[in-house]
Amino acid sequence: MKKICFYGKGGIGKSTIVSNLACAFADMGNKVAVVGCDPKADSTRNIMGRKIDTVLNTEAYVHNGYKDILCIESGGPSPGTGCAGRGIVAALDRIKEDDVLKGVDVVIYDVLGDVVCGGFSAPLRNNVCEDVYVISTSDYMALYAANNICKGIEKYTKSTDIRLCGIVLNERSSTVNSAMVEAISNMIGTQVVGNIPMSKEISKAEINRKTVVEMFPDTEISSRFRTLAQSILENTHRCVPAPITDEELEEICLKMS
Amino acid sequence: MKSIRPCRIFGVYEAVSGMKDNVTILHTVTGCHFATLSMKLGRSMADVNQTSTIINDKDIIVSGEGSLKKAIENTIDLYKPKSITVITGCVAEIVKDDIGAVVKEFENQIDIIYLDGAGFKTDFLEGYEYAQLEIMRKYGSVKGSSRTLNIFGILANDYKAEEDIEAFKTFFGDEICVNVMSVTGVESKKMISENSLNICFGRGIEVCEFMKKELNIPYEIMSYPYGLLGLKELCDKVNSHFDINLEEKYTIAEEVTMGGLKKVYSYLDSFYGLPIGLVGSTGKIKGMESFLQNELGMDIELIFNTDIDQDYEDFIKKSEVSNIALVFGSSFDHDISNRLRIPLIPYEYPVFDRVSISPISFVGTYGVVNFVEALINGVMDGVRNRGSLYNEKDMFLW
Repeated sequence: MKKICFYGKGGIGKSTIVSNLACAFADMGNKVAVVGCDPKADSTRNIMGRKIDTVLNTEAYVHNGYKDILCIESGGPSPGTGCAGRGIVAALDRIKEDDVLKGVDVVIYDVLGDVVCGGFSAPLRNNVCEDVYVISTSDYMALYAANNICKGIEKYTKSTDIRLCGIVLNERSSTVNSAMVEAISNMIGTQVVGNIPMSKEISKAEINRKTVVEMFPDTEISSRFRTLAQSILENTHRCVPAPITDEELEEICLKMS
Repeated sequence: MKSIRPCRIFGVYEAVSGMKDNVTILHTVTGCHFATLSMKLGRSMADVNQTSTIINDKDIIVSGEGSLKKAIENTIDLYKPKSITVITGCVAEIVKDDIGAVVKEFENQIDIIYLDGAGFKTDFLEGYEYAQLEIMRKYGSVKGSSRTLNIFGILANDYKAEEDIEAFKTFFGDEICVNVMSVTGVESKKMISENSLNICFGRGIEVCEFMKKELNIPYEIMSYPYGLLGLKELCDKVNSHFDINLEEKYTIAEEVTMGGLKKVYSYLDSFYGLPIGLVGSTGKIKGMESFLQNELGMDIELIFNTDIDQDYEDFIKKSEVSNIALVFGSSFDHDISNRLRIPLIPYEYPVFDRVSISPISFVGTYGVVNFVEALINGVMDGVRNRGSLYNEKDMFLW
């Protein structure tokens, strides 16, 4: 089983990329599962066509979506209350205990925002995941968050087999600077594994609660997702990230902007 | 390093959990509820005015606000109290449940207050000071003019608290109304006599300062009034403030004390110069030190103030190489007592392995006699007597 998790700054497009990749993996004939680790519980909305009941609020929390993709949402508290991190920990414990991912070829964990507390780093521990991908645009703040996430990943490489496998560049920002993202990735010790261009089809599909891979399978953007999926399956690059300092990040962003 | 200083939640709890017609709701995990509840085991088991939300994993994830709301509703329904005190523990304060908002929903129905008891923030003493202050800030107001002695520093579950409070009331009789702040209800706090004197037994200094500033009530600080000297100091402060004469009452206490001790004078001789260890809080340790040293003539070889000294393990090590033949302290000090096989004389919070149901106080008219009786019996119960004094052939035990 390939166990992948995606991290990235909030609103960077993680759920969009994860859901489309999941469909692309399924199209390739893989048995796929997506675990949304976000109290908003909307990682799998475009695969299911609706929001689903979560691990924390139901017994029957495994749902079958597009091409039988297993869709699971951890769930969590309403905004401003409780402890979402603890929710993720409890949900992951339950998923493990119930052994619902048995027989899956690829499982993707879509983790909320930055590694802000122990709960959000739960997928990095106890062999829940093995391969980590960070999604970023070429905006400074997105790269800043990506570098921070690498600090969290680095910590767990010491006690687990978890490794950073690459950066996925989402080109949805106002300016795209793939050379800069490539340079920063190299400084961290990794690579840009693929890029997703901005696309009107993504917006159209999302408003229809669908992935582009399902709704517009013959478009250029769907093809890009399939290419990215193939790259991830074939990717052998696994590294212990070497996060750079904030000053180094600022310097390179200024230099290459 | 080993500490025997209880955490903040116990300080908050001891400031309010004895309040009359009040129910304490602990918004905590089960351990905090159990541990605080155990403080009542040696006292009136039928008077357990406390409940808990028993926070579980779900309360942590989605917040425990719903559970707390339900607990308050159930408390009002089942206990029908006049007031409710909500004390939070570590979990609720880490997750940051909005307790203030939940409590506010009930403010039109009942006197209710939220007190932050998170143990990771501060220790026992700060919790006690904070809780007394918050209670007074919320409810304190002045009404009436009867001569009143407000006492701060007695914990709700202090060993002998109930008996000592009764002893104070008996001693001062009709002349002065005694108001012990950790056990009086909210109604009493709303009607504090303007002719009051606040006496602070080491704890409650912040609230006394607040009352002086806001309610114009003066205060005096002293250690717990053990022994005749302690009682004399208390009488002097009260005499001086209210311009009354308690000389006759004090003389009776002196006579009772002398009459009682005369019966065991031979045993008392043996206490002169006896090396002992003393463990206690700021509120009590000075009063006990003065009594044991100046009135019974003991030699306090080792002393550990639980509010100041941190390393109890170090104190144990020192006690092992000392000559101490007795230790005065709390149930926690069984550790020393067992290691050294010397008697432990309990006088300090917490005492959770003895019951105290008879009206035998350690202060007031009969305080010295009662305490000396407990002391001698404690020595006689000792499995082994230790120290050079005990080896002398004319020691009272053999």
